[in-house]
Amino acid sequence: MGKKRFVFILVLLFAGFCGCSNRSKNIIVLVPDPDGSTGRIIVSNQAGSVEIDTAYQATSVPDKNSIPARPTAMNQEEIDAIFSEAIAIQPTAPVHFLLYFENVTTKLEAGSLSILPEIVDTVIARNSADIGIIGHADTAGDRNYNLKLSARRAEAVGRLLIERGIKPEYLEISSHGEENPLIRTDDNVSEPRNRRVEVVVR
Amino acid sequence: MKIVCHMILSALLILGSITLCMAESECIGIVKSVTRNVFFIRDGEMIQAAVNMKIMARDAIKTGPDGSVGFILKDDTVISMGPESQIVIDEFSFDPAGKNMSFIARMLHGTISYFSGQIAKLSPESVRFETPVATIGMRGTHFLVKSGKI
Repeated sequence: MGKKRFVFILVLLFAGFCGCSNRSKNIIVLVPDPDGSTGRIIVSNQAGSVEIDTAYQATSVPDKNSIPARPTAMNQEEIDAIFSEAIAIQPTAPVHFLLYFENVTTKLEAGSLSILPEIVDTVIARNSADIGIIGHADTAGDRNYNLKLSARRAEAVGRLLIERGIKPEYLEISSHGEENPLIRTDDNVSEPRNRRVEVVVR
Repeated sequence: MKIVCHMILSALLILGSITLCMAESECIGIVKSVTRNVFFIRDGEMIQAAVNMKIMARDAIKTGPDGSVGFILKDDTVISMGPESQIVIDEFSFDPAGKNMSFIARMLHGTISYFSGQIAKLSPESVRFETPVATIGMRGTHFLVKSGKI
């Protein structure tokens, strides 16, 4: 009996301690990426800002005229109590495949050709109706030529996937030219790893 | 009669292009998972959300008392929403070739999980997640937000 009451009082104190009314109203918590690394967020309003770069640190913001609170730790239990439904329905991150081509052609390298069945399996496993095919170029040579070549390569990959049973209406073919490199280089640098077609299975 | 037929046909074509998202430039992502009541508000109309439904810029997404939804945007951003939540996608463009990138989403209330995507990596200053009390800027990351009542 006495013990139960004690627990109850503790809960009350705890609720009082976290400033229940404010803290529980607006919470932002940084959590790790699936690969285990942690990014960084900056939470700001007209009163000020706070930066969080450590996993499981949270800030609360009572209202838009109050500075976001100094970050404090939030444990898994507290996170689940608030966010379990949002976390449970979270889709797994889209899967990326990289395909490479024989020099100045739209012919896939042998190693890349063998990845096609894996792409098809992933589309089926994810029940995906949204597959991006994006041509990329390196920074060597004429920017326009690269843009066109990478677009033609993306179209070639699209045809190969359609041949293997992927519905054409699920495909979205585009080209990022040399603007979204895998490996950052200066301009006019031949970098085979940047001459790629990326397939994104969402 | 012929005119009416044409009108119906073009209305169907427009409807078809919206649901199939043939206008690729406007299609910014896809619904991957849905539980119970979830609605999109598009051009003033409520549309019941379903798996594989396309998402457009300026869509508002709203979950009911026991609803939840998860979706993936073109730049790999993964967002999921718990019950009684609402967000609006004010801006989304992901076109590195045209150097045109921005993503601004606004949360009205509820709970969300947010995994930032490639726009946050390529052009972090172009990404903003707004809540009624604060704005969140990010550098390639995963975070959770609760906003509103209770």
